[in-house]
Amino acid sequence: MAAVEKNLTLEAPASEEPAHRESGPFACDDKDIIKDGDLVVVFENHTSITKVKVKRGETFEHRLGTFDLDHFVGKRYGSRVQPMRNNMNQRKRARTGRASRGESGALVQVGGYATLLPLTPELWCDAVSRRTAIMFPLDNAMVVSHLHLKPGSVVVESGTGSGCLTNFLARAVAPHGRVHTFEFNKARVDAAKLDFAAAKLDDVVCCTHANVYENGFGAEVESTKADAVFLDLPAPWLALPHAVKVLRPFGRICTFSPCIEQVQRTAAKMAKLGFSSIMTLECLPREFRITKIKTTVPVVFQTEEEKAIVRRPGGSRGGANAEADDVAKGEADEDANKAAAAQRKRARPERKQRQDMRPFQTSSLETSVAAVIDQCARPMQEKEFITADRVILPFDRQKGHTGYLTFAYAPFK
Amino acid sequence: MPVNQCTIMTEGLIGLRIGECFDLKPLEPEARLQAFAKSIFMPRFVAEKEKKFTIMGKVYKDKGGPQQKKQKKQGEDTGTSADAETDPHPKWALYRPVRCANTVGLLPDASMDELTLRRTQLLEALNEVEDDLGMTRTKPADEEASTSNAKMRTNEHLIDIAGRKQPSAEEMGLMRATMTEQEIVDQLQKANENFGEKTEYSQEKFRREKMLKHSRKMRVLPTNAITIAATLWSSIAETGMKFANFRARDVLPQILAMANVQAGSRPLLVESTEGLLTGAILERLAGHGRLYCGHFDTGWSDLRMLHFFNPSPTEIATLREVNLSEVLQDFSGEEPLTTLQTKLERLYEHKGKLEQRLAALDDSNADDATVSAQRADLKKNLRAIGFTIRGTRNKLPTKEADARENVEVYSELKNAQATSLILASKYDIKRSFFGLLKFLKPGAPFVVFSEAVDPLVQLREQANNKVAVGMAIQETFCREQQVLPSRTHPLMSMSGRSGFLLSGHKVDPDAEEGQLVHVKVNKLAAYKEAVKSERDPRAAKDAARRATQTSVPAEVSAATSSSE
Repeated sequence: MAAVEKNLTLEAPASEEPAHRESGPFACDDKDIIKDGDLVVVFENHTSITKVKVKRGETFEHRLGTFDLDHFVGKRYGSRVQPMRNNMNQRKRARTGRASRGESGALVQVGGYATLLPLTPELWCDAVSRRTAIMFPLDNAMVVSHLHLKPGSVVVESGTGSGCLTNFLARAVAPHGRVHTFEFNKARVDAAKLDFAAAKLDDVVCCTHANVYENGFGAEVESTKADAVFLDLPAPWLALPHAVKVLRPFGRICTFSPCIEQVQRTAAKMAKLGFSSIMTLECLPREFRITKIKTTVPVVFQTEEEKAIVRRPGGSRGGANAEADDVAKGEADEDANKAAAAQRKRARPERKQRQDMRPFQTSSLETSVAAVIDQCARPMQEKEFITADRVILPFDRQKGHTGYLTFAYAPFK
Repeated sequence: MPVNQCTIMTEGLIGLRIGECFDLKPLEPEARLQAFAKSIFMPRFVAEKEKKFTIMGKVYKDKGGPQQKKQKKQGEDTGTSADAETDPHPKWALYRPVRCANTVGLLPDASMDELTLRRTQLLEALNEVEDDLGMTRTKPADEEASTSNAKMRTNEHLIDIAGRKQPSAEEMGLMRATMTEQEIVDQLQKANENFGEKTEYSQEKFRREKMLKHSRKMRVLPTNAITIAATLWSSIAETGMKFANFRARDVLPQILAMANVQAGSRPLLVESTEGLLTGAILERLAGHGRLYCGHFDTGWSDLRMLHFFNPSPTEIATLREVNLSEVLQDFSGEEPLTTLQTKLERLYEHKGKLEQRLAALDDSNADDATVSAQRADLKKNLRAIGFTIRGTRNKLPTKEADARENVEVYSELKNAQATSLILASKYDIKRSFFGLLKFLKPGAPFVVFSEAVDPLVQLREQANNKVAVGMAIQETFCREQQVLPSRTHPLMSMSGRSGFLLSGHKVDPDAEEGQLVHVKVNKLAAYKEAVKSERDPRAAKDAARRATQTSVPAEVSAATSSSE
């Protein structure tokens, strides 16, 4: 991550004159082949998403290893890359402080790969270095749509924070619209400006260092008027009078607050100032995963096939024939219960039980007799049949709350 | 129409600006009938239940037919009159919607509504109290402001009288015709014997609900995907979903975001939301880029809701309705474009023949009835192909336009590929996904909507990481909050069925499959090769040769040979 930031900060902002575009900054229409200077997303998995500016002759340190950025150039988006890793181990390299290339050992490709994706605002949310609590994609999508943004709209945002929402806003209003974003923390403004420059958002986004509570949104924006205002501030009600000044009649406003007390005060102030159709929403994504879980079939409900797999000790089908059956079935059983076995394997603490649950196989008379005796000695529950069913489960940890979105129409004068 | 038993003469809305208020004028039943007969207002989306505050209608634009004289005036609510005049595609401009939403409970006009005033006062009181406290202190909402001045009442003595006297429909009609909504609610309050026994909050709620029901204050809203969807859905209650079980309030924004829809993008869409998604995407493209709106087989995309969006001609120009069956046929065939091209050629051929026959008839100079009938017939056939309708797409796109567009779309999809894939349709999800994935640019995002999770699970199980990455299945929990002093809580009912979304990014299918090292097998070997080659140049050459044959990547062999 540190390397990403380094690459970004090295890049001079707005190196080329932003051309007049007819498409949004994140439009993929010209993004087939990765070019020198592109900002690409290195996607390993959901928890490891980073962005990097492709520059010839530079390397990129990743969790997986070292990527040679030369290799990125000319690759198609969506292709997979593997990092190179020096055969010297990491610790030694850190100690000697030598560069990873031209070392005693040759560079070899190592396991694990990442996919190169074009930057979208969604991926940005995952890849951004979080300077503040970020706005999440679902909330961002809601804000954009419910502020009625479309290409050409002018929207005012405060504060900028990590710039996640700014990207969403910029995508919606580009190419001819404008996002005026305000932030009162100087360091965040500088970092955000670099980020926006790297993503070539300069002609859409205008990031300003200002305290909105005290100074409002500035005379320039107030004179041109905005179609929509978004406030993500600790006390949005203090900025509302300024929002009224900057909004066109019946424009849209949205405030984001994590606490309901903030929402109450904001709504109260909105009603006082003449905003209408005040609506407060709370939106949360619920993510699902596909997995397999063990299901136990009690003996009474078992079908004949299942009973054959889990043979009952000293049961009605005892005898040499049944024994032979079991030998023949041994392999098939294993297949049938393979998934369940895999599941059991993971459940380490129940190792003893796990062995017990396995339908016993007999390869010789001795072991089979021993197994039968063993089986007889066990309590009834161990004769249950275990199946592994595919199920859809919500993730254990989900977002419980992000914030309340309060939407309203500005006063119609 | 049955919203509060009032009829809106949409002519009255002409010239209103967005956000402006107007009064519903109660009409006599006869006038209402007349208005209805004139089709001035189509109460298509208004449910029969009375608790509706939002209505939606459309005003006919002249379409050159007999209705033209009747309806010369057009309703304009978005100020796009210039578009309407110069619109070369009257097909899309047949109706211009006028949307009205009754937001009486929240209107800032104090004279209109005592409840609004009361609410505002309460909120102000709260605000002032809190302002005094300063913004850093977080004292909970002051309950005194709302409860201390009124005696605390509970529902201890409330008796639910089943057969209590309600005003009859006729009485209500009379009241509506003669009284203001304020007076009506007063009357209803008097008629309600239990009113005095209700708690203060429920008294206020009673008045608020009655006020909403009987108010005639309406407000013009802008037309866009969100307001249109809200209007349609509010008329079937917030919890209901009508079109393809598609909850637009939170799912639509997500689809647009996940699919990276923006000016300049070229999404490929297969939808069964009757044009809602199409309209929403056209709005975001704003005339830049392309929208491939696909359908299969002989069907047509059902885009009946598109006209509510007031799409401008430039927006419509970005829309390509495409028969994906034909495109796919040609795509998989050895001879590209055969189906589409021959279809077009056959049409031209057919047209040539018809024209020849027409010319022959003209030459013959015969003037009897059969000849003129034949001539009319030929002309009709020609028109059906679409050659005589120049520059307009009066009804459905003509056969010719259709065939030509499909050829064009084919080459566009083949060469440039779609920048995102959006599926929200009745068609088999798994098969349409894998069938259409070839039109998607590598690295580009896709979104699949399904009201049930199972089809998405099937799809997810089959789509491994060689097909796509970053796949996630999710649904949305979206709850509205009532925000009032001391009475802030989530609404009592909410929609619990958002449907499910599967999103992800396509992986380049032509990615150098052989170049990826499958570590568990090859890591050691590659490492040994590398070390060995370093010591022995001859071995390096061998290693390089072997590397090209096996799955050892080019980079490694390059690295090894360069390190000699």
